[in-house]
Formats: sequence, structure tokens, C-alpha cells
Amino acid sequence: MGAALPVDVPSSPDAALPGGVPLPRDVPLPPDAALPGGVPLPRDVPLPADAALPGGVPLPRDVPLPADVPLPAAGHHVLRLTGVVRRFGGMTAVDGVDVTLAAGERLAVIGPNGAGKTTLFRLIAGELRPDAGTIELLGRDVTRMHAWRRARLGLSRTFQVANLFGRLSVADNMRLAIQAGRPSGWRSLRPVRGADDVATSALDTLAQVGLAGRQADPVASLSHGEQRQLEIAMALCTRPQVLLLDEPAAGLSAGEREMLRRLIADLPRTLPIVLIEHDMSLVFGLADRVMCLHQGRPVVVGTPDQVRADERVQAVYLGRSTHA
Amino acid sequence: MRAVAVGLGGLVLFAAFSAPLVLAPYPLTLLSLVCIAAILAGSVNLLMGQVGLLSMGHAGISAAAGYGVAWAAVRDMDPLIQLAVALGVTLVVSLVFGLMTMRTNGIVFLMITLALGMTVNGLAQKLSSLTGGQNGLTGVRRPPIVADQGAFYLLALVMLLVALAVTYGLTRSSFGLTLRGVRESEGRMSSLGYPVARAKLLAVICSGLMAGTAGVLAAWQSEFMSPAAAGFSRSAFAVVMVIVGGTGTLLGPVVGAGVVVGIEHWLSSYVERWPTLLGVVLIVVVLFARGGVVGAVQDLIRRWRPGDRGGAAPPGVPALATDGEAVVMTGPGAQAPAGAGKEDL
Ligand SMILES: Nc1ncnc2c1ncn2[C@@H]1O[C@H](COP(=O)(O)OP(=O)(O)O)[C@@H](O)[C@H]1O
Ligand SMILES: [Mg+2]
Repeated sequence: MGAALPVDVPSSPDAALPGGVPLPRDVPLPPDAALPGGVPLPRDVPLPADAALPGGVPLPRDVPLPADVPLPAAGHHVLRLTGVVRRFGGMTAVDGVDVTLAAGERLAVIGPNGAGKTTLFRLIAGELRPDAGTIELLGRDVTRMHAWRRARLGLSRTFQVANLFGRLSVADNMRLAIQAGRPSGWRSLRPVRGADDVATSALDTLAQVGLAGRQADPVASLSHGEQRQLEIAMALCTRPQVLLLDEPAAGLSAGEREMLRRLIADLPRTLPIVLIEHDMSLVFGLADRVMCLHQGRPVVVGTPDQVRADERVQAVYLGRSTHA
Repeated sequence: MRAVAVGLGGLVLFAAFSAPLVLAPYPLTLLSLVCIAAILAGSVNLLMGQVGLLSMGHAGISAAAGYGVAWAAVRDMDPLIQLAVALGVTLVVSLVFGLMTMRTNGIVFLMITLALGMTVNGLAQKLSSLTGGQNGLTGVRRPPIVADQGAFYLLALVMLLVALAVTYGLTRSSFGLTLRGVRESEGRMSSLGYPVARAKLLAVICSGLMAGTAGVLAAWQSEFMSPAAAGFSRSAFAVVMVIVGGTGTLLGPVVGAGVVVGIEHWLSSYVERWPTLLGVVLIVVVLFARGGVVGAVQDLIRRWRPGDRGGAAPPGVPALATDGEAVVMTGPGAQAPAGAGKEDL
């Protein structure tokens, strides 16, 4: 599958050009770049059948796509933030963030508590307006667009603190997620049916996150971990084109974290994901690229290995552990 | 169980419809007032129970509709034209209520509706060329077919049943589910892609049409309109009816209307300070039966039924609840269904 091209294969972090010049990394190709003689660059070249990731890991191929999700145009960024700033009173929570998310890319945002990660999500989702900068989603400028319209464009998010419909059943929570993108009008006056009659896609999603058979339970009776699972199930149900996960592992046990890691890893490789996680260990298997935020500013952006090796990141985290 | 409920319901309906054959005009007037109050309380309950919005100005909407009818009636217009005028006025006033509150909730919603109700009350006093000012509009005549109190009572009863049926359908629909989603978490709703403000606007208009129905009936019942109909106490009584009967339950407003109208018109001849008595009832309900009378009855039924603890809700009982919250109440960690209304107080 063309979308599974290994972008950002980590080269050794200390690789350098002769003379100690660091390798240029993450240079975006201009869309009209061409080979000498005007030959267009070969894009989306099919991979040889036996291509593998470093370490002999086979490439994820033929990842099943949810049936009716239209793919974002290949080669485009699905999300682009330019100079995004957000202040709260005198405090600048997000301070000039520039970042793009390519189709099918998985970006992790790490950083200590209070770094501005959630604020960044709220800006992307439209819950807050930036004081400066622009946000483009799937090729459209959405800087001033309402949150619900951005969601209809295909943006879906989970919340750091589970934000569910507490007094409704699991089934009703899923129903609300599924019917969200549907045209409403008079059809919304049709009755909804009982707990057992949720769409099969919702039941599949529930099973996928480990909530099979729980659809009749009120959400308030779910454990913390189960509520986190439902958060993700609902976000997936909206058939997102861009998925934002805000600390999905927060407060989970080791076993639940592993299950969550696998759940995210198994998501269609074509679905671009931004994952906030302040524990670095979880993101390394998952992310193509990592951005470390500190005091609202991206300190380092690079491959997981680069970021892990970067002493500024270590300083940010050490700084945090001394005052936390 | 289901059979018992259906049997009981049938009996009540039979009694209700045969009342004009056995009752004198005054009790029939009281019953008509109960039906009218129940429709108004139902319109308040639609917002309180489903959307979690507490309106303190709904009497403003119903009084506006009443003035519409009265204005047309004193000009000897046909009943259908009276209704058309009332519908127009109701739509306009509901739209104003909705547009001014659709981006609010909680205490802000309450304050704006309170202010709007007082505005209607003030306009009713000031626009005396239309409303008769303090004196009100006298000489309103009921449409001839319901001139008799028995016939009028049947009309009020049928309208109440229609309102209940519409409420039931609305709460079972996906629009109803959307409204409960808004009640539980507006933020999650908009992040799922729901236009929350639009949903609230629609809910206020639906509720306003119901309140307007009550207003039309009230004007015909008393054959008189005065600014008091839009007074704060009228709005507050509607909220009290909802809380006493059971917030978010289908029949709660009917029960609450019965209690409040009963205290106001019947007990008041024995007890001078009837509002105090009403206050005591309200306090007792809020402290000891947060689900109101209907919620308490549902609890009792559930306790009496052997071998039915937890699990999926039995189909019989939640038929009383408008939004399947009985499902929540049967689970472990039971939660009072009146929670939404309480928070907003
Ligand atoms: N609504 C708000 N009002 C005021 N300050 C806020 C608000 N939201 C976040 N902040 C502040 O912005 C900073 C970044 O917060 P946040 O984005 O939640 O951090 P993170 O998610 O990285 O832990 C924190 O100092 C926080 O106190
Ligand atoms: Mg956060």
C-alpha cells in the first residue's frame, strides 16, 4: 500500500555530512520538484514485495481500511500550524508553534505537565482561538472555524480527562458518536432503539477497545480504564481523517497501557494521528516523529531516536522532575 | 408488571374522560387547570430533563400566546385566526428566547430566561393598546364548541395527551438523544461534530410551542388575560411542578401540576399561607425524593419486584421515564434522575 512508505526511517542520530555538517532532516519536498530534464519525481513508487523496515520488521501491508473513509489526497499535509500563539492572561501557553502532519503520519507531542500540549489540541480542535497564527486542516484554513465544523471535516479527538456522557449508557455514547456526522433534519425524529441494537460497526469498535458486551452499562459505572477505552472508541466511530489523542494512557495500569499501545499501533496506517503523551516510553514504538514542547515552544522535533538522544529534551524532563 | 401498568393507565384515562359526566363545573375547572399547568410544566421539563436547562421565564412564552388569542378574540376573530395569531406570537417569542440563550447554559441560561419572562410581563403592562395594560383583556370568549366547561376540559385533556405523546416521541428520537448528549457534555458534543447551539435553539422552540399551547388554553379557560399570567411566580410554579413530579420523567409534570394546582386552589381554602405549604412540599421532595413523586414511585416498584436487581432495565418501568434514565437508576452506583435539574438550581 502506497501510504505505508517508510517516511522518516530513523538514520543514526549522529550521522553527519563530511566536515561535521549535520544531515538536513525533514526537508519538505516542494510539490513541483522534478528530476533534471523536467522528469517529474517518482512519487508513490510501489515497494518491492520483500521490503522491510530496519531490523527485518516486515512492512505493515494491506492494513484494512474502514470501508467508506475517503483518503486524504496523497502527498498533502492534513494539518498545518503556522506561528500559532495562545496566551492566558500574561502567560503564553502556546508560543509560536509551527508543525505539519503529513497524510498517514503519526506525530507524538511530548513535554512536561503545563507545557501547552492540551492547549495546542484545543486550538487545533477549535475550542480555543489562537491569538496569532493559522491552522489548516485537510487543505482548508480553519483558524476561525467552529469546533463542530472542524469535527465534520474529519477531525476527531479524545480528552485527557474522560469527557463522556456520564448518565447515558455505553450504547448511547456510541450512538451519539456514530450519528454525529449524519445529516439530521426530519430523520432525527425517528426513534432510536434499545441497547442491543447499536450498529455493528459500533459493536466492532467496542470489542476492539475491550468493551465488548458492555453496551447496556451506564458510563458512570465504568472503571477509569474502561472510560478511557470508550473515549477512544467514540473518537474512532466518527470515521476520523485526523485523530488527536490527548494522553490516552493517563492513569492506566501497565497492562492497560500495553493494550492501548497495541490498539493505536493497529489503527489503519493511513490515519494520521497526533498523540500527546508525557511519558516518552509509550510513544517510541508508535510515532514517526516526535515534537517536544516546553513552555509552549517546540524544543526539538525529530525522529523518536533523535528526540530521545537530545539533551535539551532530557533537560526539559529533568527540570520537571526536580520541581514536580 | 407491564399488564398492571397498562391496566392502571387505562383506568386513569377512562376516569379522566368520563369526568365531565359526573363532576360539577368547579371540579372540572380545576381539572382543566391541572391539564393546562401540566402542559406548561411539561414544556419546562423538556428543557430541564433532556437538555439540563432550567428556564425561569416560560410563563412569558405561554402568556404571549395567551395574549395572542385574547387580542384576536376580543376583536371577534375566528378561533382559527386566534390560533394563528397565537402561533405567530409564540414562534417569535420562542425564537427570541432561543437566540438569546443558545450559547449559554446553567445559571446564565436561568438568568436570561428570567429576564425575558420579566420583559414579557413588562411589555404586557406597557403596551396597553394591545394588551389592555394593568386591566388586562376582558371579554375573551371561548370558541363555541368548547364553551361548556365539560367540553373545554376534554379539549385540555386531549391537548395534554398530545403534548405527552409528542414529548415521548421526541425523547425517544435521535434528536432527543442529541439533547441528552448536550445535557451531559456540550464540549464532547461539539467535538463530535454537533452544532450544539442549533440543537438548543430547536429545543427551546419545541418547548416554547408547548408552552404556547398551555397559554392558549389558559386564556380560553379564564376568558381573561392580565400581565400576572407572565409573572415570575407563574414561571417558578412551573419549575416547582417539574421538580415535585420528577424531573426528566414523562408523567412527572402531570403529577406536579396536580399537586401544585391542588394546593393552590383547593387547600388554599383551608390553609391561608398556601405558598408556604408548597414550599414545604418542595423542600421535602428535594431532600428526600430527588426523583420527585414519579421517581419515588419508580424506586418503590423496583424494590418490590423480586429477582430484578441490576442488569438491563425492564421494559415496563422505563415506559414512565422519558429518556431511559431508569437504565441508569437500576445499575450499581444509582443516581437520582433529578440531578440535572438540581445542579442548575
Ligand atoms: N483555560 C485556561 N486558562 C488559564 N490558563 C490555562 C488554561 N488552560 C491551560 N492553561 C495554562 O496553560 C498552560 C498549559 O496548559 P496545558 O496545555 O493544559 O498543558 P499540558 O497539557 O501540556 O499539561 C498551563 O500552565 C495551564 O495552567
Ligand atoms: Mg494536558
